[in-house]
Amino acid sequence: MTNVTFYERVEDALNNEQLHVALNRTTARLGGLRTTAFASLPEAEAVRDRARMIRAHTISKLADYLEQFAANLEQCGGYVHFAADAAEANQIVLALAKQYQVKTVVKGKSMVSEEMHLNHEFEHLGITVWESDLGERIVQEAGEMPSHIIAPAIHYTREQVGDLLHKKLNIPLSHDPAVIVGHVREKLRQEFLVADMGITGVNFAVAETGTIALVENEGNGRLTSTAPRVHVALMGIERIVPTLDDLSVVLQVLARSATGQKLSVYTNLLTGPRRSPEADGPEALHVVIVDNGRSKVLGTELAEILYCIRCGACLNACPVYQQIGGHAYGSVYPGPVGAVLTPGLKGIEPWADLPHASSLCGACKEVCPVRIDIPRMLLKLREEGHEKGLAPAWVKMGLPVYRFVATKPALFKWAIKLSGMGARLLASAQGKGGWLTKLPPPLSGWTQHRDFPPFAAKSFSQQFKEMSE
Amino acid sequence: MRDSRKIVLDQIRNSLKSGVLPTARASVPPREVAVNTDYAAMSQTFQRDMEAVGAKIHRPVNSFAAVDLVVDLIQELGGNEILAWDDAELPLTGLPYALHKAGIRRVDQHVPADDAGRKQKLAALGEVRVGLTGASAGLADTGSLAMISSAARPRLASLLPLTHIALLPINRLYPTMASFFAAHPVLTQDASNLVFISGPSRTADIEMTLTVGVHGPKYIHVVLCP
Amino acid sequence: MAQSSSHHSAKPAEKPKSVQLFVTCMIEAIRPEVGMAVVRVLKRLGVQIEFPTDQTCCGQPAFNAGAVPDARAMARHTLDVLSRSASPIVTPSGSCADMLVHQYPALLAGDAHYGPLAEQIAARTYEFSQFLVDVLGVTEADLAQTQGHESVTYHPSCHLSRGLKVTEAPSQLLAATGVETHALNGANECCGFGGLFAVKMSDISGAMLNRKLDNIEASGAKIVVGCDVSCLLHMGGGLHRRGSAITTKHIAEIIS
Repeated sequence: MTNVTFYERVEDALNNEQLHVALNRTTARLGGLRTTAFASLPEAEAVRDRARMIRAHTISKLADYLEQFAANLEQCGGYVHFAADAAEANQIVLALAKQYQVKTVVKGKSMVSEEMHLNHEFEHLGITVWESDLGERIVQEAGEMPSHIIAPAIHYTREQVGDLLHKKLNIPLSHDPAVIVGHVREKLRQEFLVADMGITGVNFAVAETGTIALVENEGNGRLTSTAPRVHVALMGIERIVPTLDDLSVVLQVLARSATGQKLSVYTNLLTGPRRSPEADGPEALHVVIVDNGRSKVLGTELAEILYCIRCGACLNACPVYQQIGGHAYGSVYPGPVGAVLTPGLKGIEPWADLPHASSLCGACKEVCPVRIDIPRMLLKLREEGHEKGLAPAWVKMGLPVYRFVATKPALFKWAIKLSGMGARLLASAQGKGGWLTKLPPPLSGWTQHRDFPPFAAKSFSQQFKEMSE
Repeated sequence: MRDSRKIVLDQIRNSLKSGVLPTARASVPPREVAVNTDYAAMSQTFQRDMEAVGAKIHRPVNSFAAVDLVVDLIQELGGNEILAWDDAELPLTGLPYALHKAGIRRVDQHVPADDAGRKQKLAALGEVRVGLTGASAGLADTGSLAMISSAARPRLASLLPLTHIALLPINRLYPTMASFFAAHPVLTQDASNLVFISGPSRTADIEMTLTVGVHGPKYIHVVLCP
Repeated sequence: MAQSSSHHSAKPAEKPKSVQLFVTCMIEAIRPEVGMAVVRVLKRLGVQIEFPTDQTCCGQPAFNAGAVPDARAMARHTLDVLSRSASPIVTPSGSCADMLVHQYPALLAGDAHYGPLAEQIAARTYEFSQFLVDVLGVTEADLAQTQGHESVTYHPSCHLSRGLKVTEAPSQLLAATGVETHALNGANECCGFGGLFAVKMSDISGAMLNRKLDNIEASGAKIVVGCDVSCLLHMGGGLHRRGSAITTKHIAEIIS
């Protein structure tokens, strides 16, 4: 995290006109595609229920399934490494790079590698890393982090992409996505074919077979896991499903939720490295299973966030994300899922604002393919922040007073009367027919964007009493 | 040496004692997997979904027409070289001879294990414009082709060329991915790679604008073989 | 009218003769006319009103701030007040109803006395439009006399539609009155209120509000109708700031 505060990042985001153009064009479209895609799934709600059941069950037996997965993959000639944190994961990958005398790496999409800041580590060793997913490549060339789990460059307009890639990849200038993509294909093909190591993420790992599933649309994941002689796959400890049948269920909801497709263009199922007679494929496969705070989250009331299948639907549906985009969150995982996951993984102290960046409208829970109750966990994190004294002073001091008043009916009515008098006094000076247009801090936040109506001359209690008499 | 596997697994087991896991149950009950042998009906939904994502579907009336169609397609695309699955893996018996007669040459597809040989071979294969494969299965409900790797079935044939021609016998259609898995219980033991392909390579990373032909094939022709 | 949806496992076997009105602090202090409209509607439908005068606030602001002990204290007070009568509880607010129905039982789950009490109260608490449609089974004939309003558009507040899953009742009631209703683009999007969220995260909330208000203005309606005075207050404050002529009304004011 940088020293810039959440509020400063939000201000930047809200003032960024191009970000708004991009977010408006994209989030609405993704949301609409998702709705259409689920309409094409018979008994969609039952499939979501089953997907949730699979995820909940798997997490409840996570250690057993991880052991089973590792044993099965090792049987097929794959190597399995466990990393307790990002630093250890980096050590493992860098040691592999050394072992295989790697000079160039081509990389598919991996959110875990973002947690590890892996590209940075490679650069220190003088190893070149090429991101191969178009969106990832755009943010890599721009020197940024992805702003969306599924669409890393969602915050860019086509014009910005064309200008950036023209400059950085030395391809002809165009603002037409089809033309840009054609040039990128030519340029990146060379990288795939000469890279010594391919690094990808993992969408799901199947315990019963030792298979990793890698879901993607561009073919970059396929090339990354096929062309280089070594394939390294990075996965969080929670990416497991028990069986191939379970995999087929979660795949039914993943692409629909993420991009509105029935199935992504490429669903790669990789079970170990190339077998000796096979025509092609990597000579070695290493799967690095990364904890990095997840097992800590597992022991808490936030464990349900580990059911997440990383579809990004909650980002698209979130009215806050739609306004501020991903970078304002300041963390690897943005949006509602990030507002739970980030404080969970890294502790509430530096991230106390994130759980408050929500109106608790519930749109995230509504679209989540595995029905994760994100609002419940945002409230849980607010509770933790409050207990640790991380709330603003006025909230910390105001709430006990409010509680004191609200549990004493007579005092409560008196306090309302007093507030009404105060409000009228303020309003009379503002000359807007009783409306308040400027409230003092800490309530000034309200009147930055809206007026406050006059208090009633007679409260409901009084009116009801008079009517009854 | 630090045993990270044990450390991580112990920590998980320890956390599972206190973690709150809503709706978690001891097991996932088994379910019925769809069975369907109505190949004509399945081929209709397969075709609809494949075409919806920009693939071209061909339905030759018999295997002679199919052979002619494939040879014509390859010649139209200007290729006299193809990256292809072995003859035995192509479900059209007359096709190898017809290709030979038409002067269409199959490039050697085996990638050497050594680094220099590997890169040289990949560079050569990258020049080939047409890939010709069979298909291990088709999924009717998503419009997907399944490809299982082997010595005779290189992965790269459906990946490197700009055009991919796939021959799918209609009786290899399954209603769903789950039914395909159920019919092939050991498939991941037999091969290191299984890929489901649902249309041409594509991206929507620029403003969610759908653009095809990113890193994999831009054009897909599926020949439904009778 | 078709029943919308409900959390209540057991519905009253017969129509209740009397209900307890939980009026909410917003109505008590700022929009008492909404409460009076609720009273008029219920009376007209033959339901007597009990108004426990020592009711205060449901505690949602504290709950949403993460101040759980404070929220519990207010929840216990409210449960004490509402458990003195066996009548169903009606509240003209989706979010306060959701607080009573879903959050109280969770908040007090470990409490030997208040835990079961919270469950009992939750089982007989209804949001106003939900009560009219699901419990009273209001018909078009009951509402036919309520005419003469300018055109409206309906904003489904989040806790009502996603929390209580009341999605049909308000539109059914509006349709029964015959009032001209305009479709609202992005109707299901939050207006940006969220309690303290509107103060603490004012800029994000304001951006959400502006999007909502643009859609409201584009709808062509003269009145925004909702079932939550807090959201109406938020949208109304934004409309006033814009100098818009569009006003906000609670659904009870339309059908009273």
